[in-house]
Amino acid sequence: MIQINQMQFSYKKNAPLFENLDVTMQAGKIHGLLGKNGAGKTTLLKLIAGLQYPELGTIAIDGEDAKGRSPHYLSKYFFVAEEFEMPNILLNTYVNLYAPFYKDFDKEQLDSYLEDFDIPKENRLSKMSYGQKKKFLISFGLATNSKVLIMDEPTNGLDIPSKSIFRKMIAQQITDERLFIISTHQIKDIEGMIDTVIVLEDGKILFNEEMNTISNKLLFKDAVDSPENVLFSQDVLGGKRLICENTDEEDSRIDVELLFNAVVSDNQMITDVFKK
Amino acid sequence: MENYFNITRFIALLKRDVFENARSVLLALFTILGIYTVILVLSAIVFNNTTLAMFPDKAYYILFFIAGIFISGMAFSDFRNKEKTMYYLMLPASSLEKFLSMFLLTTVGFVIIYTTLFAGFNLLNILAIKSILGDVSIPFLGFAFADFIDMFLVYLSVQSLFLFGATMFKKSPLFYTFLFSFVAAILYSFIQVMMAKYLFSDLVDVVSSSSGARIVSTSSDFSFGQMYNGDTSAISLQVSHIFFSYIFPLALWVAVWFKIKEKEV
Repeated sequence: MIQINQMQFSYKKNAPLFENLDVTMQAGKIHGLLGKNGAGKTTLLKLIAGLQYPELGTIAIDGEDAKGRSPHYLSKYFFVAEEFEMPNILLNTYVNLYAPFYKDFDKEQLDSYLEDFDIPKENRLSKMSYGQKKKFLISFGLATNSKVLIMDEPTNGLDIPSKSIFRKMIAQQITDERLFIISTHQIKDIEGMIDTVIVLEDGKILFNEEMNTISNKLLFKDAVDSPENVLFSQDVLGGKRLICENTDEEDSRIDVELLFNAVVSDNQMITDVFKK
Repeated sequence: MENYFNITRFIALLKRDVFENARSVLLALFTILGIYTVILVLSAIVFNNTTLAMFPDKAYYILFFIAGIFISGMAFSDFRNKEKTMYYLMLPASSLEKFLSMFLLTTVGFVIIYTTLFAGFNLLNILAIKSILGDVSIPFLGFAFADFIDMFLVYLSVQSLFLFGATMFKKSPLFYTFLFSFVAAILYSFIQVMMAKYLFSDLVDVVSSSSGARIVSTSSDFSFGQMYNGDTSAISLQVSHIFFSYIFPLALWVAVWFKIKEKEV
């Protein structure tokens, strides 16, 4: 479990990005972290990774504070960053050099992921394409079997077949003990796999709800016009996409993109539904 | 304790650091020793002169410092790049282990690799010169162990400075460390002169000239030279020796460890 308590962080004095931020992310779930550019998503991930230190408050994985950046804490997670630079060594050499730092690393698991992604093991990492490097990092991160897997824009650079392989891998690997955080703008890529939607805007958590709760509380539907009780509507080709309060416990497929737009445009009406 | 030092983890880190830095370290050493060889062989061919080759111990010491400065200044190469810094900091090893690994590589590791390569190059130089000039007597690498220890102690101070520079300066750490050292040396001299002026103002006059600061005695019954060569001077030298040989490197190593520990991306 990741627990962030009363956290404050700023890049510049007098302009805090995060102020008294409280977030709890439960294990056994895939958390989708959404937000506009500059909302603070990557900074939040870096803070969790201990790459930046909060001015106030605490960030902890299973009760262990990120501040100390202890080897025990660092081995609890693996971070697939959006931008990365791989050393000029062979893929196998990288595995031999870095795997010993993760006690639960499974080489067979890695081989199987690399096979799924169709990545040759004898390649030099620096010679690989951005997408191949990313697939390797995702595979390596999953094979570390660390409790927390943090991914910043993991589907950027992945081709269409790789995206579906990625979704399958993530869905297979999530267990009751593990916790995945996926930060992305490509909402459609992760729509069917996330368990929790967290929306971040200007350093504040606007929305943090589980998919089950969202499904129970909100109804997503298409219509030609907007009825009166609609919470949010968006023009689409041939009509409107609507979010309404789910008063009759109807089933509907959650449109995360529409939900995100609703939350960032008129947060209050949506959040009020969840307070009931 | 496990969170500060674990021998298995440390060996894994050392292995990783050796692999990632081997290429640049070897390139630097081969370049420096290669230039040395070219100079030696050229002087033998052009000037029919083996004087340079007669003092391999001197060459060993001089090149030791040049190469050592390069290797120490190039340490923590991950810090030159934001993305690499991230992955280096996230590597599950303690800051102490990260420091110790780089410390060992730029001291013990450097001595072993440099000495081996120097011996190899020196042997080649002797063979090359003998093949050019015929059977001339050229000594193979040989120096007193005590001299080496003295030199190594001085090197540790220099190494600590450049290792610190490697963590302090993101871009061109070698250049900025040189610049920083130059400015610091000037400041240090200035402070010394000011202190001398303050402490001995009634006895001496401190003047500046184009060749630097000079202390001139203004008292007819006091010889500054005598005092300078006396007990005060011996104590002062001893204090300087202790400071630069022990306190200075130790303080900088602690600072390096602290920089790794507190570094943010």
